[in-house]
Amino acid sequence: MSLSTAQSAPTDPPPSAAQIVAQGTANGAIACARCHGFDGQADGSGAFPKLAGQFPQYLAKQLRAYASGTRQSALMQPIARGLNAAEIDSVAQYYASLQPSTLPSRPAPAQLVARGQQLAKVGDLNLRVQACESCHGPNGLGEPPTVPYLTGQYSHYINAQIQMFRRGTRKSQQMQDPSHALREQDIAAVAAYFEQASRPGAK
Amino acid sequence: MPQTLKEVDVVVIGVGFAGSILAKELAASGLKVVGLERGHARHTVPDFQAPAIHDELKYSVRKGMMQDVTREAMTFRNHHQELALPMRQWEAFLPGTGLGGCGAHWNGQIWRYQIADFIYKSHVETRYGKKFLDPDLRIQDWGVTYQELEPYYDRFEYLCGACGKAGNLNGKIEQGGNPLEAPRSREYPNPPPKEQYAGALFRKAASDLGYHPFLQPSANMTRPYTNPEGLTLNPCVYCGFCERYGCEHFAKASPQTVILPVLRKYSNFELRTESQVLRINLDSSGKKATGVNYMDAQGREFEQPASLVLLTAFALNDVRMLLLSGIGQPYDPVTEKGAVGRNYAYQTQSYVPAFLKEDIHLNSFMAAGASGTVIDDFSVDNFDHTALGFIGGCYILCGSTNARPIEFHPTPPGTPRWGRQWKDAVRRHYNHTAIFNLSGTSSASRWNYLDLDPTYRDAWGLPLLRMTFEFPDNDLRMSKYVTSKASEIARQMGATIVVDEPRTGPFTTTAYQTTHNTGGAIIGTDPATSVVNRYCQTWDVPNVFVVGACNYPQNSSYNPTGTLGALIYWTADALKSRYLKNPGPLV
Amino acid sequence: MGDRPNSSSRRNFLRSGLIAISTVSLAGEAPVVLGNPSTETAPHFFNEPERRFLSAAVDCLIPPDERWPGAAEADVVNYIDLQMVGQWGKGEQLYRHGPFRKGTPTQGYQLEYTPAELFRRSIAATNAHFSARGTSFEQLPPAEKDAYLSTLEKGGIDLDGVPSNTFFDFLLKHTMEGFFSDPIYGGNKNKISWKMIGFPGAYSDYYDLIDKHGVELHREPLSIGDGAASHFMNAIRQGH
Repeated sequence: MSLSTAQSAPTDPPPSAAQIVAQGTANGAIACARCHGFDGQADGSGAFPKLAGQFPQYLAKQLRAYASGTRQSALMQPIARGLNAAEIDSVAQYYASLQPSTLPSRPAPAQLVARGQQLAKVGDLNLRVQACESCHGPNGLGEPPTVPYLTGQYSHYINAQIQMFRRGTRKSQQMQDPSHALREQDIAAVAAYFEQASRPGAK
Repeated sequence: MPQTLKEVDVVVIGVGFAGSILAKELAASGLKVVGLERGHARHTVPDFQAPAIHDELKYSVRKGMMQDVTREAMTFRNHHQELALPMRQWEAFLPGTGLGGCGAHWNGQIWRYQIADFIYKSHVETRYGKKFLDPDLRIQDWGVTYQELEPYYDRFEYLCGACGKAGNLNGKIEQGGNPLEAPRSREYPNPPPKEQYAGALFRKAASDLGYHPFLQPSANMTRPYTNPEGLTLNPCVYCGFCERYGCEHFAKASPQTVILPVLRKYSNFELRTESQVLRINLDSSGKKATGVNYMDAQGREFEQPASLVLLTAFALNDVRMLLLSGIGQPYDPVTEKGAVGRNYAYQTQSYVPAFLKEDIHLNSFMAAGASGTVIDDFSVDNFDHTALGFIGGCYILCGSTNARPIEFHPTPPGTPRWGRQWKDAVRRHYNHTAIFNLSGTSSASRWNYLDLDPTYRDAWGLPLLRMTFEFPDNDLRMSKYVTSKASEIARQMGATIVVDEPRTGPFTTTAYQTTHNTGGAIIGTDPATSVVNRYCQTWDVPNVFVVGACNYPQNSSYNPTGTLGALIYWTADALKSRYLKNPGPLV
Repeated sequence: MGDRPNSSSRRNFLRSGLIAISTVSLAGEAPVVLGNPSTETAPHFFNEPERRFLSAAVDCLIPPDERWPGAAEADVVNYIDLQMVGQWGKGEQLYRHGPFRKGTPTQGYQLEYTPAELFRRSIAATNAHFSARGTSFEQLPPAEKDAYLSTLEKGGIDLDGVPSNTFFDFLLKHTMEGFFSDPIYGGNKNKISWKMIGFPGAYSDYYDLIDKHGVELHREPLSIGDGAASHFMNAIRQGH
């Protein structure tokens, strides 16, 4: 997939994407919608991330990483392996084309969110951790095409991913030190903050 | 009346790389150390965080992290017989200030000098004969050799997490590194940076022409790294806001990231910021420092007595402090008597813009401070000068450190400076232009020197430093030759337009070149022609040490900081293992 | 590279990958200029005749064309106006002790005028030149405006103590700054210059992109003011 979104963005998702999302593929990919929803908002549990409006190149890269095992998931690996290269691009485009989250976030303690905002926008000198938003963008909107948005993402999911970076089960040169530097309460804080962070113009 | 404070063992003037490292080494030895920094404290969080730090107007154009020129400027003239006038704003070079000094906002280009650099005069005379040099040049040997400094280069590189590939490992030439470098005893602590597109194009062209390209060694981390002081740095994300900016990611080696947090933990170290040192005090003999006088932010003056004074305030400020304090004899270019201020040198920079086809998207804004692919084939004395009639050379670097638009919007020669054609040319060429950066030797010359200005003063009423400098003709001949070699590489790269632009005189303070100001308090073996001995101890006042690029008798092709790091640790060693055991002249 | 703002096609939504930001500036919130007065385009320093001159002059330096706005539409005059009432304009970033003497070209700026004073004097002298002829700079046909600016650029004319080439270089420098700087300073409206050249702006993590040689990065540029972070950082710096 070209990193220039220009030439590969359709005005409507191709029929094959909708079919895969609804029914899966004959090669073992179960329907994406079962966990991620047709609207990309997932099921509210936080176990599955929202995908709506995520950058297509990022989504495709994650699917390829699941397929190869670079990113470990017993659940996602057979699904990703059940998609060929064109199908990966296609479902990635589908979810990228959806409106990002507009659901109200679950309430979180104000102090926790404030601490999360502090870490997100300023960082912490004693922990030697930089502002999350320096890479994850204003209010966590991401830096297309490579740095995913966090805005509105389930705090449970964000928390789990940071824990995986910390444990080394998910690998990232950039997330390695920050995930170790943050304490448990800090991880909860940034997760809470990003779940309730607002998108400008969202209704 | 200045208030006299309780005596301490050591006063460190200026808390940048040299000041921080020396303070830590001495505090760790149990001494009571006070660090006096004239600027503000600043820390990675919150002061260097993005996006606020990525403010080109504030930091690049208005020089947000630099010395406050309104309070402490310098005067300048090209020639001895001219009237020096103040540099009313910084342009050609940007002296730093503040905790961390220039180390907080350098690019991270971390080099070693060549073996020949430390014995430059002997080497040139041996190879080319005594008559080879232009009569006004004053190059000198250092009095300390590369081999003696090698372990200290290693120590500084591991402190900083230097990223590169060894080219010469104990005499064995290694693939992927610089085959022309001086031998190193072990590999770099981290692998080299990712190569930019421009660098990859350069690599192919340079190889095709028979040169030896390699990735520039970098102090912008290429992976998570924990240094020997136990401090962890993050990988650099190639954000394109390196030189003149603090790093938000803890990715650039700076005093803030590699040493200060450890230093601050010593209860026997005290940091005082916004403390402007006015002079080093001497006793009646003039041969012993008793401490310093400084002024705080409220305008109160203090006398801080100390047994040992370390002057680490940046090259230019170091020389000024010696002059203001009456240490050593000021240099007079007419009589050539005196050593303080002599052998002022710079870095002979030139640029070759290479305008490429429109289908080549360079994305030069994706850059670390030390990004670039480089050849060393034309540096220092790496090539035979016999038939060329000059000494010295440049490394030739291709890549970008940034593409920040106020400063970078190149247009080909002949394009007007404004108007419709200018605008069209900017659009056409912004993402399709590679700039070669040539960093050249700067030969010391009789007539280039530093002293105190007779007229202009700083906010404390003290004379400004006066700089007298013009490029020696030797260096301009050198630049013409090496720049033409760079242009050949650019043509080989397929550039549609190549601008062969060697450095020419006169030196102007109105356009940025580099902040590699060297000399003025040079290291040497003869007190008549040097200010410090081989341990950076002043000849005149044995309890004053000066460590900075002011020690360099002339400048090599390379950025000075790596070599300064070696000198810092070398001096720390001399202080701990020799001086403290038996204070007095070490040579 | 990049589309003009305000395109509302769905295709444009999808191109950017940054759906909400690409066409909607932060819910109508005015960007905050760190440490500087509001970037609302109410005048701060220049009076009406000065603004008229400047609008016309900057539009000669960076003219509008079929696809891209020029300096005036990019709010460059607003940028310069705000700079003149800030530290820079007031001369608080220059060494201003005398004696003031004429130097060599290599010695740089040696006039005793602050940037604000320099603009005021020079524009007044220029405006006086034209009003003495019963016209104004902005009324000239385009070719004559360009010709006049070229004349200033060459030097040799004294604008009430300011050599004309010094004024011209100052004007050009400030125009470039206003065109290319972060929009928080009141110029580069809608990041128009950044869109024109393809500069992604103040958020810049290229770790995964730098070695994808030749990739064409199409995304909306981001300003320091885009994340409400500027409010936050300003508050942090002021110790709130």
